[in-house]
Amino acid sequence: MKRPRKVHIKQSILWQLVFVGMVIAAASYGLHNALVNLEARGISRGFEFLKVTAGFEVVQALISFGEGSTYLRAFLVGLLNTVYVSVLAIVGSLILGFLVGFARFFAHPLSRGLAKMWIGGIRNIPLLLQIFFIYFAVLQSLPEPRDSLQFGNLIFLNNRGVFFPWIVNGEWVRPVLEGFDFVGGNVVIPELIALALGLTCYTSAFVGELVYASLKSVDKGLWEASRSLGLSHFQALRLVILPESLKVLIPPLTNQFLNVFKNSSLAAAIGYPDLVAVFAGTVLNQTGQAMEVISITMMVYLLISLLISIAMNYFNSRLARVRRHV
Amino acid sequence: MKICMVSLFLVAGFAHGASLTLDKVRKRGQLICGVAEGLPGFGQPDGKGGWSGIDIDLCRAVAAATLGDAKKIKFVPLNAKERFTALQSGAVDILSRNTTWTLQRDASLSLDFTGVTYYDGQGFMVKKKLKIKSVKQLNGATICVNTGTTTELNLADYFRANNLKFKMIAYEKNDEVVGAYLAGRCDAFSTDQSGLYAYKSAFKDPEEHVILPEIISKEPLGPAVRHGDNTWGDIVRWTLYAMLEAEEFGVNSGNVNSLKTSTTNPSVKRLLGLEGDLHKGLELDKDWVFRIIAQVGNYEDVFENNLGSKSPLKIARGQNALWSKGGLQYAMPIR
Repeated sequence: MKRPRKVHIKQSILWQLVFVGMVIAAASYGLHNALVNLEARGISRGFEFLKVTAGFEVVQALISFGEGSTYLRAFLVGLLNTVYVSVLAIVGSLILGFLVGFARFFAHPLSRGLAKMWIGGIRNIPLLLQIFFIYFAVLQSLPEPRDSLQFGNLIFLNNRGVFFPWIVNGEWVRPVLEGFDFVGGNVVIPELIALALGLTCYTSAFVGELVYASLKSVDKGLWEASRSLGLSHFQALRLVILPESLKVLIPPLTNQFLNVFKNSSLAAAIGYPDLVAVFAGTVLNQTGQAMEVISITMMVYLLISLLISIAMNYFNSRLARVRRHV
Repeated sequence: MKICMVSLFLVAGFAHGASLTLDKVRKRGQLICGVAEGLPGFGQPDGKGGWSGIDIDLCRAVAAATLGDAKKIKFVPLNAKERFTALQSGAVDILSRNTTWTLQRDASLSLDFTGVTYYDGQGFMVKKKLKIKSVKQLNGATICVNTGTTTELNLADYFRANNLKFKMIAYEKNDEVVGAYLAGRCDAFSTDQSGLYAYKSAFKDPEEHVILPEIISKEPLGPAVRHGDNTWGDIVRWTLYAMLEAEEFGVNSGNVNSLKTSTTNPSVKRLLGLEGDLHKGLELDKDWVFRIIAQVGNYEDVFENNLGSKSPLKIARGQNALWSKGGLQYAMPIR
């Protein structure tokens, strides 16, 4: 029994090596072909362009970006904007998703019906349409800067965004209307609001369904056991059911977080300056270095997606350890 | 790719003799012309199964000159990414699709631009109620643009050079730029000025919007052919010049028939092929200009029909007036 099995393993290793070799050969042929053709057409390549001055403007930059900034800086600005909107949407969809999931889980017909409607409606409309709808609904319903809605002369709401006081050089600065727009303080642009809201709502429907399913998956006996120990309904949920349901919830939740991150690239459609819009859009157009720009962009998405997966796996395995101790 | 390269060498190799493209077109009995997918005034389906626009009329003029009939033509709509490859690979005989003539395209993409059908440039549109007369008054304004080509860079360069502050929102598609501008997200909308006129004409309330006089970049739009087939390039180049020259001499689609029999002006006689044998150098027959003017019109006819007073766009001649009337359109002499 032992000998043929060893041969089998050797054989399978051989085949795997052959397969890996073929993949590498195909990839390097493709790369070589691309390089030869680029060379033949006199199209420049390499990553030198990252040091060149970008020259354009970006409406929202978390790090300073201006006249002398390079394409590398533009890349960082885009990346940070992508991460920023993704984090907002992940936190938002988690909160909203749990609310929807609980509402659907509890027997009250009104809450259940509302949650079902929310999930059914949101899940079945393409995300891009929802983002457009929210964006143009937000823009249409807000007044022009001159007729801003204001709160105590500190916070101003108009179709250019929400303006609020902010610390500049150690001092609070209040936004003031000057010419076309408010100057000073800080602003949340409508593109960010629309994109974060769109991603949050869309993902909350999926998270809600996952939360509901994970709660449902917990054995009814656990409910009965906890209640018979004298725990209240809420205590049972918090101490027993919820921890138990997380086991089922975390892996599919990871997928949803990854989706939020990747879906954030729809930003380009409504003018939010994310990685795709700034780097794979404007920078690509200005430099013409499609191969480099697209490979960097893909690598970044891959890398961050892997990081999210690793973090979630770590969280899951820690939960599993805690469970074992209990 | 290799086939493409080989065909490029072939084209280059035979270029000294007869025109390959001209032979191909004659044999086929049809000109294949790469055009815009739909840009009012330049190239768009006219709703009756045909196409209209200034870029379309240039192709029709080339068909009239080479095949004797402006209708012997097939239009291939191309998007911005496809256009150069389609020409390089021979899928179209001529690219007439509001394309800016730049060094990079002329030298690195194996193309030859043969002239400028329309001198364009990046401009600005604002709402009339802002009472703005000049781009210089846009300090601190938010400006919506379509991401692509050099729009964003032109904008940043111009505003910085003039010490003006601005915010730029860049959208992926023009529809969203227009939507955001109309919804009040930005104070101004910036793209090629001819495009601004085209969009404005389609608004519900075009009179509520103004296009500012400043042009902040040079966008000379013209037809392109494959690099290397010089005779074909000459034909396309002189087709446009003939239309401009005809305008300069007052020869138009309305009077060309009577002028052909009555004119005593030697320049007009030469233009219409009544004297001399200028047509031979282009491998065309002597009536080629007559057919262009009779079937398509001179530059003025074509401009006014598609972009000017007889079109919904109502664009003034401006830079596109003849050089003798203060514009940039200057045809090399036909003699």
